[in-house]
Amino acid sequence: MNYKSALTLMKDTRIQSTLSLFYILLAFLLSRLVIIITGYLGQALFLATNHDQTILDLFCKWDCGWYMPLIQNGYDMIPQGHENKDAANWAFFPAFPLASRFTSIFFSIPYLTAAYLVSNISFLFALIFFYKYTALTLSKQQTIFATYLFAFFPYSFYFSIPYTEGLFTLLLIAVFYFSATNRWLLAGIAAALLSATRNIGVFIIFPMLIIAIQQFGFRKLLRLEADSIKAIFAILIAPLGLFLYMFFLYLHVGDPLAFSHVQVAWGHKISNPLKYLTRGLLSFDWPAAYLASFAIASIICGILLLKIKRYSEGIMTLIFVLIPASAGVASPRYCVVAFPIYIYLALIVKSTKLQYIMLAIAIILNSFLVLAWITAKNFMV
Amino acid sequence: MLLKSFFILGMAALIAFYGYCLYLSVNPKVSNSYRLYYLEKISSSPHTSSYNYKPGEKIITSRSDSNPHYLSKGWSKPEGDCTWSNSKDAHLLFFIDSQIPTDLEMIVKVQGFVNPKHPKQTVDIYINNIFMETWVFISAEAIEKRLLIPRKILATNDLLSITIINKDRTSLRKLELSDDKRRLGICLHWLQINSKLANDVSDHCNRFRNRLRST
Repeated sequence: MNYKSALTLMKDTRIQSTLSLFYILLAFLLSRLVIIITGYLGQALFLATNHDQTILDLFCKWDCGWYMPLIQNGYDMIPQGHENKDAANWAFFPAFPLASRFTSIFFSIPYLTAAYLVSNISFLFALIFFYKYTALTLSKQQTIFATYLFAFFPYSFYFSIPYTEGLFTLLLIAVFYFSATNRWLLAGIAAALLSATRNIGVFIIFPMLIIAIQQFGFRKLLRLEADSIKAIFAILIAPLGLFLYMFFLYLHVGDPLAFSHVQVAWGHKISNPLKYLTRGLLSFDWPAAYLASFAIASIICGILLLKIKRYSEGIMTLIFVLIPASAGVASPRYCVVAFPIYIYLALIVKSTKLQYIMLAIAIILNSFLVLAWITAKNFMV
Repeated sequence: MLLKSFFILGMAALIAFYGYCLYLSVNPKVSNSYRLYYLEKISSSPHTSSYNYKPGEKIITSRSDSNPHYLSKGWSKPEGDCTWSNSKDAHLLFFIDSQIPTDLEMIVKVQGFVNPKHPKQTVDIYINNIFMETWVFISAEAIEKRLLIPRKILATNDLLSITIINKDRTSLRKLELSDDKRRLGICLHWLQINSKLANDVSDHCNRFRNRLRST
């Protein structure tokens, strides 16, 4: 390649990157705008008595009520929550509250605003990483569709509220992107932060291991050669966030597994996830059947990803749905972070017309769910 | 080579740290109330004050006059004169001053779930996870039972955890006597834990009084 053609290629790549960034920013802004407008409309139409609530207060529900005191005051010394006074904020992992606290101090803004800022900035970067990761294996048109689907998908409002979903998704996709592009140390750092964001994050070691085996082969990986040793190190560093939090809990409460043991206050018990989901699906209780069907659809997606040999993505999707289900939780918010679902949908939906229809349905459903969220419908928990 | 050594050293340090955290996980340093509620899952509250017990206090578990908070797990609600155990293991929890210098004696008035269709009820009694004895009920009548609790069981711990393993529990529904699905074991009327020294003194006084009367 001569100098002139190299320059042309660089220029093309830059234009491509600028265009891609434009697509991503547009997806982010439009999808968030739809959520904000729906929120305002919902407040005006359904919450006649709460007109003085700001949009930030409006979306701060359920677990947000746990995160705000945690960001402000840190971890409980003794359990005081719920009627039985057995719930404590040890169940909530530290990465998101810490990031929100530092943001609040750094920018001198209220804790709630800082928490929203962390979630939204994280989601914007999650979209960027998602685009870059998807573009590694999909065509440009498919990548753009997958990115828009990700931004507008039902329940995607979770990425913009003071919950861990925004940060968790960013770190999750970053791990996949850095691993797939052989930047294992960055992947390891993102994975360690991921395991400090939510308990399920530690299971990232399985997809990482699959990617490492695909890249280096099993034997080379075990021989700890110059390249492969970085992958092994990254996989080993992945649980560090969880173990540091466990060590903190030992110093604070005396029990490194307090985050798990306190789940009893929320009635979570370990059981067979498939049995739990089948029972939910066949029940006459519509919210249970609806939540179970969402989880089962995600499981099917995970199996189909395995079938097309996208092993690391398939395993991750299955883990992220089945493990919460084994604790009796089938909340769709655990499914929407499983980003390979959007990649799979982009792979199978090839007709442009169908893509537009899907996006329109996604926007309508997400808007309906935003209304259900702000009016605190029980099936949203 | 240097880089490889650095990574191997880092990996060894990580594994050591993870191992240490796992060791701490199986050996947590927590209060009794925490352990009973979150780890052993046998108490109904993570807060201890409701289990504080002064030897000699009589715990009546009838509907009209009940102290159900000592009956931590595995019990129905008080009904009539007593409270039924309704799971495989039923627990009673007490926090007693471990500085008590004598053995303790538990006195209970209890009846087994026994009827012509289910003639025998067997329960094993454990104190602080140590097997003490087996009680067999062959009549539905409430009887008084006594159990000696050696001081050494309380020596290092204020906790007195009484576990009743209901070996023959069954339900009225299974016996086709009613629709009640609860699998019942024993019905506890009242319970009292006394210091053995106080009992001995009281027995001695009674004997002395009787002797005086007879002379």
